Amino acid sequence: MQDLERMRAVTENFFLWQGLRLVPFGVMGIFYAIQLAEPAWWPLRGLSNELILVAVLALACTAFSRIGRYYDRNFGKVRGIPGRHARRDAVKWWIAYPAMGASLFVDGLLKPRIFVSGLVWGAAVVAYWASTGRGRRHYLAIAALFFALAGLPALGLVEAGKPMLSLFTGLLGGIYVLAGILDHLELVRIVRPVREEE
Amino acid sequence: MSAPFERLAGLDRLVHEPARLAILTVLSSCRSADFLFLQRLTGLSKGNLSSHLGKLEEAGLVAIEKDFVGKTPRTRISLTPQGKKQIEEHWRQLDEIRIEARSWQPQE
Repeated sequence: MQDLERMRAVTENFFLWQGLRLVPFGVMGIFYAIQLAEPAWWPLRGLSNELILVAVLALACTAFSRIGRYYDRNFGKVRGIPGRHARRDAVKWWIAYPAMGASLFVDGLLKPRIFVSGLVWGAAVVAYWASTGRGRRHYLAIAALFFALAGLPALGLVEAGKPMLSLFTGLLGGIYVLAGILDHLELVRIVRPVREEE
Repeated sequence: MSAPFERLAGLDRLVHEPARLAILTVLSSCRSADFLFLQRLTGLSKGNLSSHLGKLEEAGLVAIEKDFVGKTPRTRISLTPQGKKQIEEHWRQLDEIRIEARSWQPQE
């Protein structure tokens, strides 16, 4: 029964289990966070941040598409039922994403002592985990990490505003890479290698 | 009311066979899936999966569509309306039997 439930969750959310697709965006996040921080050793220091962002975004999109072909070739394709996740999509586009964007603005402009994005993004990750079959527990650890970030400015560990946002962007990149790899490992664990004839 | 075990014995064996139940359950969660996806998710060998799909197609529960992507052959499988109805009905029966079995007391 549990196996069947897991199969159902993977089939319904197959795209979301293709974790390696996320990795280029994670690398992009780390790269861009370093660009924003401009450390002395960084070779691209002084170049336009916007130009760098467009370039790394283009590279990440190309890699995303190539990795998609790898999944098609090795795992096959699944065509979802239209409207199956209508409620989840509505919550995502009308509540989660606007709230996540707004929280970044609040943290950037108002510089509150509680890092609001940590709370909002943590809640969004829990909602994502709950709406995709509750199988991938690493998302709970990621949510806990986000919640923990909320207290850093109040504890005086990181200055609110740009320093906190830079740290968040870099961490987000790392989390994308890690979550992507863990999603992929989970997929590989659930789906089995093609069996030869007995 | 009959004992739940009697109902269990009366389940449609074409659908209740474990591999076919897995195939139909997976297909009920999507519009269609590639043969390769079904093979990897169920862990069946190519011959075994083909054989189960053949039986399900013969019974009118699945539709199998073959085409080419470039030079690569591709097989897409989907549930027919009858297959969808039958797997939903099967799961409903299984849920009922599970509930009945929990509260079942042998008659003296």
